[in-house]
Amino acid sequence: MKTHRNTKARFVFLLPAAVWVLTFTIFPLVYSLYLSVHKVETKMNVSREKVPMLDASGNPVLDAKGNPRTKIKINREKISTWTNIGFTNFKRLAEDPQVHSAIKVTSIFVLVAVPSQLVLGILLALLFNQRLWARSFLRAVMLLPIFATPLAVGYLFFTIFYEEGGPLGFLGVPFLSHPDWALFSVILVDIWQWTPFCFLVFLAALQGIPNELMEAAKMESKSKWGLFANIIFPMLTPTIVIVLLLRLAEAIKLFDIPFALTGGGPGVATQSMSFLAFRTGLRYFDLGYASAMSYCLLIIVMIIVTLFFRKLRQSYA
Amino acid sequence: MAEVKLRGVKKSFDEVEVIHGVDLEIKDQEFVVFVGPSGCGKSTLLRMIAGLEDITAGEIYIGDTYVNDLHPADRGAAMVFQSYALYPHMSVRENIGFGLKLNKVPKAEIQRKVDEAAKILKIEELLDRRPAQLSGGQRQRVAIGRTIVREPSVFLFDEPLSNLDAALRVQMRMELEKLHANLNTTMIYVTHDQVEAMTMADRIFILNDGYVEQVGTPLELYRRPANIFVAGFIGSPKMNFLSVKVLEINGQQITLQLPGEDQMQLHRENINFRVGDILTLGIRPEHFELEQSKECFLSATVDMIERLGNETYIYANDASDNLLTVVGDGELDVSSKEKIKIHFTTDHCHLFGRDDQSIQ
Repeated sequence: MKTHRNTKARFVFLLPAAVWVLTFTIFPLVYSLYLSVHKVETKMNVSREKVPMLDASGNPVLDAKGNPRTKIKINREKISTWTNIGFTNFKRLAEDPQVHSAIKVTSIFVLVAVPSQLVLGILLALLFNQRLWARSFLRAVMLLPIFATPLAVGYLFFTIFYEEGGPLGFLGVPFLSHPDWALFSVILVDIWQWTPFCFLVFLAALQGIPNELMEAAKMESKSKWGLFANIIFPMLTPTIVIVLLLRLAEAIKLFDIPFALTGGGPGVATQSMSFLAFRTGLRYFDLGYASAMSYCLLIIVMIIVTLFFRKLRQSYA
Repeated sequence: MAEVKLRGVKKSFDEVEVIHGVDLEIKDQEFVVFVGPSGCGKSTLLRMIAGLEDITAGEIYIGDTYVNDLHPADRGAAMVFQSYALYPHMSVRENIGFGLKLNKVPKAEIQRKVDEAAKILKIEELLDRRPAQLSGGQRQRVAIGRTIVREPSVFLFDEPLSNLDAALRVQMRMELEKLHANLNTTMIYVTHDQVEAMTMADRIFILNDGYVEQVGTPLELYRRPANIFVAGFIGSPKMNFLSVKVLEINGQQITLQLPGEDQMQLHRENINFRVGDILTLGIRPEHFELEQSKECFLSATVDMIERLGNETYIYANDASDNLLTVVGDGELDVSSKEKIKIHFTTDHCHLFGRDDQSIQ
């Protein structure tokens, strides 16, 4: 009996967490999958009709001539039709030039921004791991971008990259108006925002390498590159894999910086996958198609994450 | 193989000077131990020789080379660290051969040297393991192997045995002595453990507060400590110190008042004190005896007895309430609170002046 009661008690304690997960993770997941195989059309039928005006007690209001006064009532009727269209949305994905362009934009972004952040993060961490003039002050300054809201950062850089009269205007670079430069600007801002995070984690990892280990290596070779390649880098590898994983998963979902900085433009030059899904769903209200896009994105992220976790487990073993 | 010379070597961390002008000369093929309490600067001195600490002032030579400005890897010195400092992501073989690999030694030669070192250290079967799979003693061997393959002119050891258990420490101590005999290379060994210093060293450098207090062979230090610090540091249990008053000076013959009623006479050549001065008399616990056969005695009350089997430690309070330690044989018949007379001969007495220096 006691065991039975315990089981019940356990269930009660688990319930809040279970409800939380079901409500905010499982339900949206299932619902969006359901959406993705439908064509969802949402319309509004608007009709007008004349109706008599009534006073507070419910009697018709009369005009000067004694006729009842009328007013115009607007009837809004929301009609949402769900048509099951099978995998048509997914087929559309494969053929849609907008999607191709978004995949290209996202890929370029991920392949340039993430490695840059990692490399810069490692270099800065190596620099700050030495004795340095005003080290703690510089380190604090370095970390500031972490605390900024991405959306605010996007608007901030919008003013910085502003081509007529902005602080970088004298360079004459079409930061936001040329398609290639615009993507480059988005990448630049993301690097600016996320390198400090990589730097911070790598610095912590570097400081975790025992001092005697570095000294032992230093007594064996004066080649700084040799020490980096043979001691520091291998010892940083588990950390690098984790940071890479976090940054990849985050970067593939790129949304807020182009939203604030370029609005996806010029044209679709900085329209990422997430941005396209957002536009399709919440601007053009093609909810089924947007869900299909999101699902594809989710699957891509999951494949990458799984591969890296496997790699991570290997490097720990 | 090389000698090591230090001339007026000083070290300051910011404003604080921790090594105050050390001069020392270590002969070729000598096994030298730096010993002293924690914070005496012995490790700092070793690290300065290794090149891991900057030298604030002075000169260091290894062989005939002035090494102050040389990179640690170029000094011809190899070091074994207290924590072993093995590279966790490399196998034992890679650990030992790492320095050679970075210095572009051909692979076949690395292999040969690693195998040779592994044979000397009896770790051939461990070569493919990772450091995490080794015991403390095995890791220590690998760390030593890493230094052997580099064929350095000086081996530096920074408290290498302090992470091992007592039995293993004794074993490794003997192996290090054998290694020194086989390799015939200069070795500098840092420890806070005077037993390690006494058993392994050709010569001991005793350091205290950044000064070299005394240099000598283990027995020289034991028999003729230059000052109270050395006298108290070398020997276990610690030397007993008594305050004695000078009653009479007759040429080189002096009469001292011991705590209690007894007096004693000593012969000293350097009389740098006067009648009425208070000096310090040092006698080792093993030179005290309870039989009534010796020249001098102290009355005392037994406070505590520790029986170690082969010998007995007696802790007793003398007339001036000094705690004295006596080492007697294992079967000694004595009990707590008993009144005893502790006897000793003047041959085994050390006399120290008011400046703590030994009076010869």
